[in-house]
Amino acid sequence: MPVYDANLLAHEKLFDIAVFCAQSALKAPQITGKVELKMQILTGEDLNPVLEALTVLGRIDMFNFLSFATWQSAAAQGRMPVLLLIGADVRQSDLNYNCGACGFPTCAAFNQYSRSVKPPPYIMVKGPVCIWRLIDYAGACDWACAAAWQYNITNRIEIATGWAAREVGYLDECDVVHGLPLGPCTDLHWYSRDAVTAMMEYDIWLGRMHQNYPTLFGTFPGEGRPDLKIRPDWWTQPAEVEIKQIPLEQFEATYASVESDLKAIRERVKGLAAGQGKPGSGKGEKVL
Amino acid sequence: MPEIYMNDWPPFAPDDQNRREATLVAVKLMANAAQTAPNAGGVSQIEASIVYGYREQEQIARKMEEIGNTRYADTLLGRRFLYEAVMVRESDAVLLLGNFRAKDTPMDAKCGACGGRRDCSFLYSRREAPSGLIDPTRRQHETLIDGPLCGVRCQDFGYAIGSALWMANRLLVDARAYMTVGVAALELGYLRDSCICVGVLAASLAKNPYVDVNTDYHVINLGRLVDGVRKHYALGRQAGGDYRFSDPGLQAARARRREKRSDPQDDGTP
Repeated sequence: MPVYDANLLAHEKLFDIAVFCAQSALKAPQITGKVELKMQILTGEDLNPVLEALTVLGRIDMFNFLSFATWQSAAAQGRMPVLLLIGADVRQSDLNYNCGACGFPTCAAFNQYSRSVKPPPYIMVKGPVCIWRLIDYAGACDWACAAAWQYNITNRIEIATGWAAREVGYLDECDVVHGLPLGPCTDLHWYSRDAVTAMMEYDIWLGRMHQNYPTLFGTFPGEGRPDLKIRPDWWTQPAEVEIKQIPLEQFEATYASVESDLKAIRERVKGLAAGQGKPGSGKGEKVL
Repeated sequence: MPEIYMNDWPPFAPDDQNRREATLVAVKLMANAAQTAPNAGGVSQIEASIVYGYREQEQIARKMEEIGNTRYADTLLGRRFLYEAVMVRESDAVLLLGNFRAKDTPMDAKCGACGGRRDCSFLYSRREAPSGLIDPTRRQHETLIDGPLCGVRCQDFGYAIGSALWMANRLLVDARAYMTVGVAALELGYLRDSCICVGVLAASLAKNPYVDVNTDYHVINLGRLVDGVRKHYALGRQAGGDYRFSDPGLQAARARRREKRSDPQDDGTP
């Protein structure tokens, strides 16, 4: 009888878990009963363009870069997770609830507004969204996560990975896409992230604390000069918060580079797809 | 050993209460599951209330019927309010889940969900918000829900509902989430910090009360059928004579026995 390497098999079978998660998402009870999920599973080299897109999007939203670092750390260990993408169309309402949750008095008014707005490139969610359709979509994502949890597979539902994947062409017809990385088979990978620990030196941590919670470090403000304690001997070099307007034009070049770089990755994925039949056909047996 | 006996009939009798109390335990776990659901940034934003008991559930059901028969009269949604009111009555307990951040303290993630722009301007331009802080005292609204709401918060709200339902699923308790129940509960004053609420109905019965629903469910349902039997039975029995002196049933039973004795095929084997 053969003896199997259980560690190796555990990682190889992550694909099966992704399928279970997809089945679970499809079984999730819906309030509207009208949300159709669109899902894809990416593995191995097909993930590379998504990771690349995460670094590009990281230029404008840092959490994308954190996700990238977490993926990269798994890749460096030779234990690449499997990615389940879950998407849906939430930009139109056929519910006729006329509930007002979207900000319009009727579903017809919402639909009219929705048709009039063209989402800009590389936007996280192609809004506006019908709140009830979004809630059902989220419930399905939750059931996918819960299924992974049930199988004791570490995971994290992420807008970052879903957004990046959509930008390079996966489920690009969907208004909202979330990614559910599954694995590696270990206790913690997507929480208490070792990849982030390595990046975040003490000074960076502290700087973020000062920026995010300035009142925590404030001195007695009665003298009219609210000092911040940013070092142990704070009385020798008091600091203060300065509020200044951000000149948005300085980011225009960054935004332009994001758009062009994403476009380039997308074209590359398209090219690969043309050579292999369809996008995401890395193993030659996947469906799209 | 004390015995805990369970039987779902008659409803609300002590034996049925034993059964309902077990569902109540499950619903409490569902509420906890909603709190542990994924959410953006680990921010607390879900409040829960468990409505349990004949009078309390009846109050929600009646509010749903009021909404269904007024604001949504003669529409499919109006019917849903009426049908789902029956389900509230048939449930063992109602879990109300609400999100208390979607209106007043959005995620400010510039995600585009609310208005399709790469900022939060759609939401903020429709609220009174000095210095970007939404005025929470502005509560008046004409629609069922005071929108627009933050898409990220609503996504998280969906996760919470999903986790509550998942817990019910694991515990083999029948449960479904309803917009209609949540809307009625909000109007009754439940979860007063929340701008959006969903009612998760839960029951542990032989027949899942939330599926296989017949038409005209608001007038043709188990409660009405039982009541119909009571109504007609009382009328029908009034045709009876004085049971102390003659009994047609006894005469019929004797006739059946006589017939059986004279039957040549009957060898007396039971």
